[in-house]
Amino acid sequence: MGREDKATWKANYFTKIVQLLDDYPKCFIVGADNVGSKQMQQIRISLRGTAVILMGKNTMMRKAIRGHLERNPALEKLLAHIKGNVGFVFTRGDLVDVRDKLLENKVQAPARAGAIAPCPVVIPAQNTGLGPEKTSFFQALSIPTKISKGTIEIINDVHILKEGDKVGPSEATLLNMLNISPFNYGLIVEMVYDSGTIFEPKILDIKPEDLRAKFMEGVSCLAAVCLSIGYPTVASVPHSIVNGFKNLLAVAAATDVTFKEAETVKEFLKDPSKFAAVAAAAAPAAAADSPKAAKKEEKKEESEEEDDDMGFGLFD
Amino acid sequence: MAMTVAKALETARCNVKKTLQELTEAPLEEQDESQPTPDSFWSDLGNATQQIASEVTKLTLALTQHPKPAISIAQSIINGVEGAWNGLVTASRRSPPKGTLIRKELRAAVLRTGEALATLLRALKAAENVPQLQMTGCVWEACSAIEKLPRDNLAATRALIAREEMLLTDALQEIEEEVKCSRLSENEEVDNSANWTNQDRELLAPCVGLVRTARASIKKVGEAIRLRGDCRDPDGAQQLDRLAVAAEKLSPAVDTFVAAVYPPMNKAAVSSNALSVVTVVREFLELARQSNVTAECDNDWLSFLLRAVDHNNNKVQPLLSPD
Repeated sequence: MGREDKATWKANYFTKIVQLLDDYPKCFIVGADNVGSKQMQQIRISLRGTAVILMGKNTMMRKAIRGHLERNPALEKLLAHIKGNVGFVFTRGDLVDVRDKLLENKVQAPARAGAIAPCPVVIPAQNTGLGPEKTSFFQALSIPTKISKGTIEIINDVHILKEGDKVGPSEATLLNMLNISPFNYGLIVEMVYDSGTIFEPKILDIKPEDLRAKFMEGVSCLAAVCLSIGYPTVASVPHSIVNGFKNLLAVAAATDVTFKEAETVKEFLKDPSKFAAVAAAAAPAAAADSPKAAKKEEKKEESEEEDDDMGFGLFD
Repeated sequence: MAMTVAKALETARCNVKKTLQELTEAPLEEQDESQPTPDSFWSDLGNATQQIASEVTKLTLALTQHPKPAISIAQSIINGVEGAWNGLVTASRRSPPKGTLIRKELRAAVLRTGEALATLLRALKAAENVPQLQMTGCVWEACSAIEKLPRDNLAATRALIAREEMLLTDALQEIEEEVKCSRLSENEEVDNSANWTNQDRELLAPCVGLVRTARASIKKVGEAIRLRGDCRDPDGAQQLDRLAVAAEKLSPAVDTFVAAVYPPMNKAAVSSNALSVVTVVREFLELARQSNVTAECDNDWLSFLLRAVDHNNNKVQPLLSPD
């Protein structure tokens, strides 16, 4: 790029970013740590027609956005997130689709000394094929090994790095010797901007189940309040009935009064050893006949589910 | 029936939009200004945000699942959402903590919730499944952001200073990295036509020095605020407000300056932007000196930083003069 080109590029950069902000209602702020220029090129190709990537100097991006705030004040929300090695991915398409395309474009990379592990790394138990002269590399990391047929064998799976750990020179050397490229690098979505709203990428993955779970939290609170103040509602009545039934069982257990549902409890209290014997007999039978056991387990799970619906699990 | 639910959603959206407009235009000073902030202010606000989150969940769940609710039920849920939104607006304006910055942040967070709510109501009206869930999530996130707001003007100022310091550090790291790369390419004797000229390079050290001084200033004043900042009396709260306003000017000035320094260097722009940086950093340091956040013992570093600003500027300006 000649001096003239660079001058034009600098002048046009501000116009370009403003135009993209005007043309596209949605964008991602993406982290580009450990993404090389070749990989970036591949990502650009795979997003062609769907999204436009804009990288650049943070100072220039912030300056361009500040200059455009008068026309679009909502963009101010982006400013605080333009820090570190970031860029923009502009799109008019579906945010989830574009995000998925970005995830697809991750590439495997070796562990370099000094890098932060984005995921845990485990070296599986294996015969490494390395000669005994390399034992010191394993000893440096206290990895138990043995020599098998003249080569080093790792005895157990070794958790060499936890997520967020800094890769040391010993770990990097060993992983490279074993030809393990444990990391996947690509553009990481840090924030999402959609028509004036900025939000965390996890919001893209909200499912109807999350909605139901949140709703059930509210129902649990409502049921708890209703039970506490003795005001029956649809949410609390099942629990009131269960509580009443428990009281009846307690009365039946402590007195001679009986009814059909209380008979098992009374019988158990009378002679617990009988039930222990039944349970002990059931255990070997279950072990002997596994499909039957699985079926029983299913049945048991069903009954537990019934209990969960009516029990105090809602108040956790 | 669908049309009627759609109409109810549209009416609710318009009402929310109207409240948003009123809230945007309302002055930060409230009518009950003389009243102290009640102890229950934040818990009331927390309850109001939780109610919005719950009502919105109920609304999305009811309208995104089959069978759709009868219009009377839908209307009552929509009324619940509107009521919760009005409750949040009222709670946020009932004797909020004193200080312009905390009130601005509080208002921005409430506006963000209202905007997310209005967008959700529009998505529900349009019956688009994916945006409905995402926008519900946005309302939840906005509600949780309200709960995480700083509780007084001191906390708000500290948070703002931390944010601004982060941006200044980012600008400093960026220009330092660029200078480092440029030096490497200089040693490798590659084509430097897309880089700084030798004349430009003489400017780099004082330019980076100026950015470094701006960053050191916000860091030191931030520490002083952490040690001595006080917002219990109106004077203290106002001093913090003035410092916050001055701090917010630093990053834009530094970013514009750094952008001008990048090759090809526009000397006139670098000169005027350097002066802007000098002005805002001086103003910030002088304000800190005059305020209660600094004491006698802080004079040394304040004077040092003021000298550093002048030193760098005095080195930059002669090199940029037309002669």
